[in-house]
Amino acid sequence: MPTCLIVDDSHVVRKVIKHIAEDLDFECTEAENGLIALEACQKQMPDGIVVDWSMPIMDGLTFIQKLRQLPGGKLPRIILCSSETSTPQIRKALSAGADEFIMKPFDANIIESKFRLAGLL
Amino acid sequence: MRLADFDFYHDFLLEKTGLNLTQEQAYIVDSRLTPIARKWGFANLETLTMAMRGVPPAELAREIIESMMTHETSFFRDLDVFNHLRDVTLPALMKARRKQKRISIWCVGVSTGQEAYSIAMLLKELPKTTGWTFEILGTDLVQDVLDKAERGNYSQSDAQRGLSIHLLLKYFDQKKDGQWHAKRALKSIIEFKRHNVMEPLRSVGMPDIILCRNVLDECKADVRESLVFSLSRAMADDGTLCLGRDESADGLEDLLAPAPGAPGLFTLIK
Repeated sequence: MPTCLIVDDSHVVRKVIKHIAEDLDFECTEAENGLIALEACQKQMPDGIVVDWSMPIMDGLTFIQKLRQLPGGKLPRIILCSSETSTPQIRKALSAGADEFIMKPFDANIIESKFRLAGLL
Repeated sequence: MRLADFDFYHDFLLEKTGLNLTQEQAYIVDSRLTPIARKWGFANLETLTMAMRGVPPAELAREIIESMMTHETSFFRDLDVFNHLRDVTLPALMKARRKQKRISIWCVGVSTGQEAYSIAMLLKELPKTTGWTFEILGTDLVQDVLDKAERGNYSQSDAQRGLSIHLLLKYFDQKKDGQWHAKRALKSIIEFKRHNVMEPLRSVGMPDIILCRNVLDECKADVRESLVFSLSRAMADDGTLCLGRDESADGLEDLLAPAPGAPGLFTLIK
């Protein structure tokens, strides 16, 4: 079963994404900020990561940049979520190493579509 | 809604559009036509139906037809179909058209345009297309959705359904209101036109690929067969007909062969 790490400081958002990802047959783990997610990835690299941009301690962008430098860190397909949806912001996310970008708000159809586009389905 | 009224709309829509409503859909007819009855000053659906049984204004008939159409669509809907077009159908077609360097594609029931724009992006992303002319025709019965297709403006939500962020940034401009607007590079190769697939197909030329996906699935079997036959005859001899991935070419097995590895795609048997 493919694995997915969901990184968001909101418990509710993590729960929503987890529910959708599990419906897509992913085994999900959660982290509440980038630092915890980075530690989790060092133990076991997931197949996919859905990460929020804005989080305390370590934000999503920094997390992606650091992850991509780890051994095996280029493998996970990363979808960055943000309510900051200007074109320069999106380009910044892609330059940092995100494979896909979700503009908030989202629904189950958008999540599934982005999983597919990121090559996770 | 009275059974006799439902029967009237069933027959009316079947004749005009090929749509074959079932009695379970009577509530849809009721919910969509009641606002039209009010708008046109009829007391209720029954009096609207009485007027429709006479010689109704063309505009009223058009509104009723358009209200019953479904417009469900998204970018790159059924991605594997687009991948097959990109990897198999189009390379073969480009080889066959290497002298003319011209490919035309017709999207039937194009709705709000996402399918036509998806095809346009697919073509733009193909390698070695310098000097080639691509023409995409998107047709639909409903003028309102065609107007939206023509504008090429999509909400943030629509822009995220099926469209990769890379293609979105490359081929769309972000507007101040958050909408995404198709760039001229796409719009310049697409023409949108009102057309009822039940009417003669003379005006559409001879496309190399016809996409008519999930358009005919609610049609009566004999109407559907006749329409698929007409579409097959309208396309180039080496063309490809794309129906919905779960749609078949029942009754036309002598004319159309399914493309291997691509559900819903058919080529003419020579």
